[in-house]
Amino acid sequence: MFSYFANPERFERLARVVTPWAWGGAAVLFAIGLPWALVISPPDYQQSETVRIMYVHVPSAWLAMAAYAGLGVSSFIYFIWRHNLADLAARALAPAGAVFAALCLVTGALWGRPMWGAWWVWDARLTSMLVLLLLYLGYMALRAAIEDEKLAARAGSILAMAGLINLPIIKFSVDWWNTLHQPASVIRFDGPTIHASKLWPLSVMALAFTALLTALVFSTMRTLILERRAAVLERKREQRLEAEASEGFAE
Amino acid sequence: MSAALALFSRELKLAWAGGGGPAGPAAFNLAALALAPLAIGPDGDTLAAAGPGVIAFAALLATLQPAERLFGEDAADGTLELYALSGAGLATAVLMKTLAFTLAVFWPIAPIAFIAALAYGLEAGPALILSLALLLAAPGLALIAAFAGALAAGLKRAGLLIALIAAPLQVPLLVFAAGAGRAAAEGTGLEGANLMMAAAGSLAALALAPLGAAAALRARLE
Amino acid sequence: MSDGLSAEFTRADVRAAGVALSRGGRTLVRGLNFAAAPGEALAITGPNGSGKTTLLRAVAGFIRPDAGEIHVEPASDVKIAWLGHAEGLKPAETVRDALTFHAALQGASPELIEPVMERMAVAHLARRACGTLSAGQRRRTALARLALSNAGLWILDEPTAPLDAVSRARLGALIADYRAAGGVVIATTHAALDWPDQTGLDLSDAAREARSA
Repeated sequence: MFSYFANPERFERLARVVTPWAWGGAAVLFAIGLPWALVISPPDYQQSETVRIMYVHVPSAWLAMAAYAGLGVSSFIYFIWRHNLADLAARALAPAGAVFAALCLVTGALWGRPMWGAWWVWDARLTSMLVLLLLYLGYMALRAAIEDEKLAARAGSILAMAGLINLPIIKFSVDWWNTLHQPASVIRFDGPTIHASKLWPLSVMALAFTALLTALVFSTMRTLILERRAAVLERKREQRLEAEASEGFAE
Repeated sequence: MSAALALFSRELKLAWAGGGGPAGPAAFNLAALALAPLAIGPDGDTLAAAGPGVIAFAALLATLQPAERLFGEDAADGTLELYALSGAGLATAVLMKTLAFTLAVFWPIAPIAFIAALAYGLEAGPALILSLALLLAAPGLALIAAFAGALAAGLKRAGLLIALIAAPLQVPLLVFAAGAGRAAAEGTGLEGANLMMAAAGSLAALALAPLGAAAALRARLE
Repeated sequence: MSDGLSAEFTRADVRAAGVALSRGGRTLVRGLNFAAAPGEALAITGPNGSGKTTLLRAVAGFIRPDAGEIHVEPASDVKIAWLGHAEGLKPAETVRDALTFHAALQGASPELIEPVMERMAVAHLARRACGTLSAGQRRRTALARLALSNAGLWILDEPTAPLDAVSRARLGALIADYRAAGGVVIATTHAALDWPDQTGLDLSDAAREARSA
């Protein structure tokens, strides 16, 4: 499938359809989900009103992880088949995923203050998310540090694949670290069962976040394609002028 | 095999002699361990509790310290091309180089950990376990640092970048190495499991990091 | 086997057709064809930035061409020796240690090391650390390494640049012996190389074609 869409014109046609729908879908879903989650849905019997943070926190966590999976997979595709679009997808996914991871951490801290009495608790999930954010930051810093675009893409794809392989090991080690020294039992976001009155607004919010990620990724990819085209034209012009300059001198 | 052996013994000699050999990372390790109690405070119980973690963390920092020059110099002086075209291949060269480097430069990590653990107030038994854990984890930490070094080879401010890239990947080894020391100190009986995990982490790094580093260096040759 | 040259290598055949190369997103050459059989030398010339070094890197297999193909055959057996602008010498290593290591790495006989050092006039420098050598001495050490490389194809980027007239003659003789043994040499050059019946490859046309495309 990816080789089908690796054709830039085909992608352009797809993106022209998907991008406005994704933005529109995100807008509609947030218009429904936000009031539902933040106002209409019932407060929790244990967490009262603070439970509403969950409607932002949990989808951010999901999408931060999904975006990293996407980053790893598109990096793999780029590394093996060298499809430029896969690299563009990776470039677009990284900042979006990092923002979701940061959003997850910030909402976790905001929720932690009233519930745990501390802004930050070294809970296994939050700590794993923190490490995930570091992986994103490392990826983006590496790409930003390399000027040659091709090398940046190659090096970035190798790092993203290493990160994806490591992610389950990191998750396991952090869980292990945490159970070795479990502090007094804390209230968690996700009990064993979530009541339907919360599940529905949560699902709508999760869909809204997914639509937002899709819209962000497609818009960024289109921008990057245009940037690249502009750079190619600029370079052709440069080359022509340089050739004219040297020929003019020879005459 | 003889090509691999030649690579190993050359890199062992170069790592031992060049750039101060083990002195730099060992001094860095010791400095971190000497400063940490000044930050934590002189209370004996607190220091003993923090000891395994601080010591494992100082070892991690020591493995990051020379990672910049590990492949940075090879990329700059043309060695990378020679290794890539040698019959041994880049992945073997990376493996041999990193192993030789670990052996020549990072061997003080385990003895330093033992002495530091005693100084932080741990009993001899747990101190020995922590030292053993770092002996098992150090190759893995070094291999991950080498992978990050290969990705950042020849870049400006590579040192900072290497730390940012390697740190999250080194999390499991840090957890298991420090965990073994803590388990031994607290008598939870989990030190064996932690030691095995640390060894497994190093073996996984041994299998994957040279391939990743070789791929990164090959991309640099393009 | 000539004195001071390791000649137990698989002979190489180089063929390239329709090669296009780019660097940093800029197309350098297009539609490039060339070939080199055992015993032949190919001297690549062209203005600055025309892609001479990039072409060498492509022949060595470091870069994939954007279009066309470069074959070095028999692909599984041929060894390639490389000499770029950076010589790949370690400052702390002595000349003899460096050459001993490369002989072991490339499977050349250690008995060749002394004659090769004599031949490239670095024998008197054997115990010097490479970091203390002059540019010409470094280049001669690197050329000695080349003679030990057991490779069927030598790829040289501006090999004569830091050499004086005597060393140039030494290099010329080394190249002549190597070609007589069936070796292939592909080199870039600014100065004219006085190697007998070398084939010239001027990149100007291919570079012009790349600009106009």
